[in-house]
Parts: sequence; C-alpha cells; structure tokens
Amino acid sequence: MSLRISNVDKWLGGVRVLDNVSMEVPDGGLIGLIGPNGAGKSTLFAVVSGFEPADGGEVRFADSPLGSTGPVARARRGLMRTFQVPRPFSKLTVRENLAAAAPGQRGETLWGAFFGAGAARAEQAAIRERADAIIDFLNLNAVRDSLAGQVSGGQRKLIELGRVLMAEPKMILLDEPFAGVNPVLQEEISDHIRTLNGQGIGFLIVEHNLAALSRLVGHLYAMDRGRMLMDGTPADVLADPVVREAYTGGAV
Amino acid sequence: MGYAYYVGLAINGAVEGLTIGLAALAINLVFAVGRFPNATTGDLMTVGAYAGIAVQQSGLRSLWLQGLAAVGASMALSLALYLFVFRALRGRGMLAPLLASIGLAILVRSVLSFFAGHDQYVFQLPIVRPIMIAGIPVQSYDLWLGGVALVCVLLVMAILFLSPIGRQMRAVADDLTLARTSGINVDRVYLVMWLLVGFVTGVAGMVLGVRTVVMPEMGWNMLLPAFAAAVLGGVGSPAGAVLAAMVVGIAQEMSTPVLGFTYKIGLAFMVLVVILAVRPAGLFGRVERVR
Amino acid sequence: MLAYITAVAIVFCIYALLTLSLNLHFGFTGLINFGHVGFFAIGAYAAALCSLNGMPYVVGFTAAAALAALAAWPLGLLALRLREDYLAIVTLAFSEIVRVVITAEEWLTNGVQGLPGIPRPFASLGIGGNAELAYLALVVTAVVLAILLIRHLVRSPFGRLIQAIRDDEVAVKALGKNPAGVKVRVFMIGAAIAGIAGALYAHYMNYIVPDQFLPLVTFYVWMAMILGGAGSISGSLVGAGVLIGILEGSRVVRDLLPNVMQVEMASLRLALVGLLLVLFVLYRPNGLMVKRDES
Repeated sequence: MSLRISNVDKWLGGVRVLDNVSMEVPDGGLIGLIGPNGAGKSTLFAVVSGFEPADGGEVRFADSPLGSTGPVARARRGLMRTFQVPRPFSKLTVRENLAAAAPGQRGETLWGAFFGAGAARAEQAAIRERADAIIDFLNLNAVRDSLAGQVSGGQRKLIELGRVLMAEPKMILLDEPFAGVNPVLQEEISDHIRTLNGQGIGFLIVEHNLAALSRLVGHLYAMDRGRMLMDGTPADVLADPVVREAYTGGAV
Repeated sequence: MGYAYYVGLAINGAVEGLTIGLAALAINLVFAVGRFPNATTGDLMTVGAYAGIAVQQSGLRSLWLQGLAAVGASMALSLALYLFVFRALRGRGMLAPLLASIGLAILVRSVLSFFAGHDQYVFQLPIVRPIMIAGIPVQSYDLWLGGVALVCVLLVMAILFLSPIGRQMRAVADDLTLARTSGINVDRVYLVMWLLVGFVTGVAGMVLGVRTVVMPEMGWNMLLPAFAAAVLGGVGSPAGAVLAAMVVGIAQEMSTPVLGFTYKIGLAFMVLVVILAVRPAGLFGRVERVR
Repeated sequence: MLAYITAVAIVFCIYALLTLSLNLHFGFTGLINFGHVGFFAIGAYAAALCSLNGMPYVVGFTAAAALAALAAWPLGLLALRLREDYLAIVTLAFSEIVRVVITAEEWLTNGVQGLPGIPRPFASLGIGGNAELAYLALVVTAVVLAILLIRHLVRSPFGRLIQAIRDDEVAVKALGKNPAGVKVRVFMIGAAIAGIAGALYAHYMNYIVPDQFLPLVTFYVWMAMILGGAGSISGSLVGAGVLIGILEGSRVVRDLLPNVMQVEMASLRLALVGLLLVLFVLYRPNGLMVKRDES
C-alpha cells in the first residue's frame, strides 16, 4: 500500500507552510523526511493524517484518493501516525493503552458492554494476549501495569508505537521517534522498525537525529520552508550543498 | 406604542449593552491572557457597587467619589484574587482556574451578603427631568452612564493597542512561550491585566448600581449575558466583545414586548447556543489546531 | 431524631446520584458539564407533571430519565464541536435556559408559583413514619443501581475507551476510533441518572419551584466531585457526604450559636462551599482520597 503525496499546499495565517509538496512512500517502504525546524514536516504529517485539511493537491493511499476524509477514516484504512510529543492515555496502564487501540471491539459499543458478555470476554482475552506480545516485543514488560503518565519519555514513545501496532497499520507516519530517547533505546527502536518493515509495514519517519535516521532508512527526502528540496540516498542528500545550506543558514 | 417607545427601548438597551460590554471586556481580557472564563467578573462588579454605597452611607454625596471607591475596591479585590489564587493556578489548564473562580464568586458574594445583608440599596440621585431628543424622552443619567462606560471601553482599548504594556499583553495572549522567550516580563503583564480587570469591573459595577439596585446577586446576574457576549465577540477581540454585548443588550430590550420579561433574560443564552451550534469558534474566533 | 436522619440520608442519596453522574461525565469521560442542574430540573418537572396528571410513578420516572437524556442529546452533539471553555459556558447557559423556560411556561409548570402537592410513593399506604424509611430504601436502591451501572460501564472496554477519550481525544482519533458517538452516549446516560435524581427529589419535596434549580446546585455537585476525586466512584459518595455535612451541619451550628441569624448562617454555609472549592482546586486537585499528584 503506497502513499503518494502530490502537489500539496497548505496556508496558515497568510503563510504558505506547504508549497507544492510531492513525495512518495512505496508499498512496504522505509523512508525518511528531514528538514530544519519550521520546514513544514509536522504540518505535512497533520495534512497526510487528516488532522488538517490541505489547501491544494492530493494525497493517495493504496491508489485511492483520500480526499477530505478525517483522521479517523484514514487511520481505519491503515494509515496511522504517532506524535512528536507522545500522547499516552496517562491514567490508563501501559497494557490498557495498547488494548484500547485494538480495532473493532464489540465491547466498546454500549450494547456490547452489557450484552454478549461471553463473546466480549473472549475477545478481550485475545486482545490482551496480543497486547502482551507487543509489550514483550517492545521491552515494556517492566512497566506493563504502570500508569502510562508515569513512565519515562522514551517508554512513552514506545507506547505510541505499540498502540499503533495494535491498531493493525499498513503504513506508519513516525514523528521524531528518537527525540528525547537515549542512544541504547534508539538502537532498539530502530531494530523494531526494521523488524516491522520486514513484515511489510511501510514507514515514513520524520527525525532530527540525522545519523540515526541515515542508518535506518534507504531513501531520504529533505524539506525547507514548506518546499521539498530533493530526495535520494541518505549519503547523497546529506552531502548536498542546498540541504547543508538549509540546515546551517536557516535556523542556527 | 409608537416608534418613540421602541427608540426608548433601544436607547435603554444600548446603555444596558454597554454595561454588559464592560463585563464582557473584563471577561475577554482574562479569557485572552489568562485563558479561562472568569466567573468572579460579576462579583467584582458587585463589590465595586457596594464600595460606592458604603461611601454614600458615610455621608459623601459625590457620585465621582463613590465611583472612585468602587473602582478602588474592585481593583484591590482583583489584585488580591490574582496574587492569592490565580497566580498559583497559571499553567494548570482551563478548568482549575474556572472552578476556583466559581468558588471565589460564591465566597465573595456570601461574605458580602453576610456583612451587608440581602437588603437592596440605591444610589441617591437628584431627580432630573428627562431631556427630549427629537421628541423622545431620554433619562439624562442614562446618557451620562453610557458616556462613562464608553470612555472606559475606549480607555482600555487605547491601553491595549497603543501602549507598550498593551502590546505585551497581546503578545502573551497570542503565544505565552514566545512572549516569555522574547523577554516580556510575563508577571508584570498578568499584574497589569488583573488591575485592568479590576478597573473595568469597578466602573461596570458603579454604572450598573446607579442604573438599577445594589444587591448581592446583581453582578452574578450579569455574568451569563457577559459570557455570551465575550464568546460571541470572540476571544482576543475586545472590540468584538463590546459590540456583541451592545447587540445582546439592545436585542434583550427590544424583544421584551414580544417575548415577555422572563424570556428576555434567557435571550442572550439562546443566541449564544444557536450561534455556537453554527459557528463553534464564535463569530470572530479561530479554531484550534492539532499538531 | 430518626426522622431527621432519614431526611438527611435521602437528600444525601439524591446528591450522590448527581455527583456520580457528573463523575461519569467529567471524571471518566472528560466532558465538561456546568449545566447538570438542567437535567435535574427536567427530571423533577417531568416526574412531577406525570404524577400530578395521575400517571403511575413508573411512567414519571421513565419520563424523567428519558427527557433528561433527550435534552442531553443536542447538547452532546454541540459538545463535540466546541472548545472546552466554550462548552463550560454553553452547558451553564443550557441549565439557565431550562430554568427560564420552566419559569415562563406557566400553563405547564405554574411558573414561579411552582408545583405543589406532588405525591410521594408509599405515603398513601398508611404506614406513617415507615413511609419515610420506605422512600429512603427506594432512594438507596437508586444509588446502588447507579453505582453498579457506572462501575460496570467503566470496567468494560467501553469504559476503557471513554477514559482514553478523557486522557487524549486526538490520540483516540489517530487510532481510528471516533469519539463522537461515545461522548454523546455518555452525556445521555449521565443526564438520565441526573433526571432520576430530579424525579426522586420532586417526589420527596412534594413541592418544586424554579428557584430550586439554580446553577448553584451544579457548583455544589462539582465541589462534591472534586472533593471526592474526579474518576472515583467511592469518592463521589464521600464528596456528597461532605457536601451534605456542610449544608446540614450549619443548621446544627446555628442551634449552638443562637445569636446568628438564619440568613447569616446561609451566607456562612455558602462561603464555606466556595472556600472549599478554591482550597481543593489549589491544594488537592485530585480530591481527598488521592495523594497529591506532582504533575
């Protein structure tokens, strides 16, 4: 299931924050997106995930146009995102955070909460099993029953990833998975991403840690001030004078 | 009832609207800078009006002195509320200060009624014959009060849009973090904002007290129409709030012959609910974004 | 003395129902509702009017719950689209609209004169003082049912979803779940419970007037909920208990201090409610039961 972004524009308060942006993530791809602060990466994520409407252009997922659908519809198609600042359900446990993300639960309807208790219980047992497997995979066992609001920043990043995995994604938009995460955990997260990508899940990753990102992805896009500058192998992109100029000349 | 009756209602409504407008302006300031709907606004007005009455009871007949006392009392209370309660609640979201302001409103009103009782007071004014404008009798006090309210609104606008501290206040309202990093003394901005709130509510309390009667619930009863005006006018748009309040005031008065007195009170809320159903961000407000 | 305790217990149960249902709205789902007294009023007038028109109690109670839930429906839809500060104001305005309509539509509600002579279940059985106790049993049953209902809901996957919505609605949407329908349903269920509380109140008081349904009642319930802790079922009972303690305790104090007049006592009682609300928001935002949170 490929993601194709074509000529997307976005205006915010008279500023063109996305200017004719195009890019593509092939089916099962592992793609990075870089750019200095204010380049428009987060806005692009917001537009692609349906939280913000585009002012022009088109986003297609699995060869069908997403049009003006909202975030819920897009996530249901398997196009999921995480957030730069993690958004855990802070008063639920880590396990409940994951369980809550499982799609199509009959117990989540009012009817299902009262009737068909047996079926709902079986369903919940299966969900719990799957959640535990993912918790195991993400090394979150130690905090499984802690409240999500009380775990470390790096673990919150993992909870977000775990929740998205529970929701059976086809493609994940990862917003700065390494921010505020120690180097050891960064390697772990990278390993998890590689494993999942090997299972056919596509990734588009926004990240400021260029070294860690280049080791992870095979293809990189670079943005600055709302425009797509170039794309290519990480080595090519990072060596490009225009990209270097954007990083050194702009924000710093 | 000829057209003169309706013009009279409209004038009455406009002055009423200006009074609501002052309260809405005070709400708008806290809404924009402090980021919560301040339920003590009405009771700050009440305290001002009672301070004016206290001066009158002590034998001083000057309305100006009474007004001065009203403004002083409201400013002092507003400052105290900020220093002792709202300052500690900065950064705690919208609900905590809102709940605290409801608690404070109840507290202020009950302390007031404990000491002053539930009796109604009036400001004693010399009887003046209504002046005729184009054949329509107009209470000269209404003109005076409308004028005072208008001057007060313009003064606050001038402070907000022409003075350095006003510019800083608007910067804090736009983006607190950005304002702080760009070197604005945020504490000073909050302090001035609450003093301004005290000033506006003091004038509003005095105007309301002179127009009607002074009793413990007088300010609280103004709160919902003022909330309605503040929301309709849009957060961060003080002029919008005052204009919306004028519309609310005039609509309330003009509708009385049609809807009756009871529904007049409910009109502001109904307009509010209907407009928000169509435009969730208010008439001039912006929708929040998700990043 | 027994009669007094019974009376206090009945009022306690009615406030407990209001606090529990507000907790379902706010404590568990994060819905900001400052118009709870509106649902209470609708329930009270619905039950009273049914009863006064000779309908059986069951019809009155059903109407109370159904009409309150029905009123919550459009409000819930509106809640989906509004910023939370606007929602606070709109719900408050809703409860005032309810009161204005009740006051104005005299043909139905008798306006400010109120509705006298609302019959009380068990009173006509001729069992004297035991009728009060029987009514208490009815009210306690209602509280127990409400607790069981809310507890079952909260512990179900549905409950997990509403708590997720409370903690982060954006994240819920990002996971492909639509919070809209769930929020409206919770709003209606809580309103129905408040409506039942209104019905129980009307039948207990025998006489209702619009002034019994001021926003102050909503604030009382908020204070009780904050005191007990948002999101805590047992806390709702504790909070309602403290509230009744303040409201009733001031009567006891007045007996001890004969110099204090009744109106002054009412002022002091209100001052205490306001002060407690401020102090709890400042120092114990998570309520009596929970240790102070560092966040």
